[in-house]
Amino acid sequence: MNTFKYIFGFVVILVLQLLCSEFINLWPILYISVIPLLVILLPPDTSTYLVMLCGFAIGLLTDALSDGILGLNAACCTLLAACRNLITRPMRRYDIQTEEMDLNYGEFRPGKLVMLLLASYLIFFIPYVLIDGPMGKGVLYLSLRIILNVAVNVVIAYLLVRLWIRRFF
Amino acid sequence: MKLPPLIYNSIGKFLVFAALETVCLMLIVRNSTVQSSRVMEGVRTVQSFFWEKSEAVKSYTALRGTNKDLIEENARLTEQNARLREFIIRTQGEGKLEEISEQIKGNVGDSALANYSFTLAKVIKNTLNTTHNYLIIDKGTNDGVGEDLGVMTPSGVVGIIRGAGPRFSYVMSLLNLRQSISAKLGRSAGLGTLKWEGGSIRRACLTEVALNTEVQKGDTVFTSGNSSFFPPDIPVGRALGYTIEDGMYKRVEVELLQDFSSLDYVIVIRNGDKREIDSLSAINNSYLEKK
Repeated sequence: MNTFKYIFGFVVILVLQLLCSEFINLWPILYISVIPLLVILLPPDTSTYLVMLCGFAIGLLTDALSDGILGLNAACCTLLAACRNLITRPMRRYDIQTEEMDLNYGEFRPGKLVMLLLASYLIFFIPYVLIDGPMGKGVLYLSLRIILNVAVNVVIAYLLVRLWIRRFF
Repeated sequence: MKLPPLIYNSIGKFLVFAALETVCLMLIVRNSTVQSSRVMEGVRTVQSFFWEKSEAVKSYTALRGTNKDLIEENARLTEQNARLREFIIRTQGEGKLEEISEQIKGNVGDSALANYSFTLAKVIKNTLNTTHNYLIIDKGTNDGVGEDLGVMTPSGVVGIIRGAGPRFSYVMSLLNLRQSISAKLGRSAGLGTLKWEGGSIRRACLTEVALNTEVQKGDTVFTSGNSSFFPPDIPVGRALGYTIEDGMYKRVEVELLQDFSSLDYVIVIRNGDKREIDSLSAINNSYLEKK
């Protein structure tokens, strides 16, 4: 049952991402991305190898289906997948029933969730902006673009998690 | 050796990560010109970083050889430096000879020096504080310098060579009680004998000047040219005043133009006619002996 819920959630988020990529062009420098959530919300006990492969596949699928640079989302998602364990480890708690360290996003307090999303989107957007940004732009431009993208996407991701995704996971 | 599982696992994760990222970068490079140049720029930066580091390591390992090369180079340069210094000193000497010769010609005139040749010599030793002062110069018989040759500078007479070795010569200074040269007063051409009588090294006396010779303070004293040692009309000093000596001659006090305390280079003067003049003088002497 849980597996079905995950797969359904993934499909929904992926479709959402494709819709965002195709139809929401708020600004040339702003990129709405929800696929980092797919990587973060994978079951906590999934091995890093599998998370990296999933991240790579999700990114590549998004690149292939949307009108972007092939490999860009895949590279960023793979990096986020590799760092996933590192950023979620401090947020895990011991589950008495399963006697294992568990990670339940639905029970996160707002601050904790924001911190997780912030770290995830920073890892995702730093390489994204560096590779995607136009040539000859200075550090200030790149920094502002990273901050803007992270801020907007963290807000969107927070709302998605709070209003909808927590029902699935 | 078996690796601990944690390290083994970490290496495995890293390799998978690196492989996936490489695939992504290859896709990016193939599908976008801008991103391709950016990635290649990054690759070149990394490449140049490693090249720089490897060059630094190579340089460090080659330090022993470099050090040996530097020592050899240093020895070679030291030798070259010594040769160049010798060359400069020699060239300066030659330049100095020309410079001094020109000054003397300027004072005396080319025609008066037609039979004279010059040799530059460096003063090796110069005594000033005795009554029998002398100089040693660095030219001797090997350089064609011999006895009875005049020594001077553009400022005046220095002395006469009284002994010559192969490499050095002994010059009896004008500041020697036994030394005297024939001189004349410029205005009246009154002849006399210039002698140093001790005391100040800037003062001498022109003795045996005829009573009818007009002497005024500031008159220049020149070499007379009556001896075979020095050409005529070389300025030697200035008259300061005179006294009557034994009621027969004037004794003119002379301020020497030559500063003997700052002698560095001197000119040895060779009179081409000296042998002939000396042989004629010898006839006179033998005639007197017969009488």
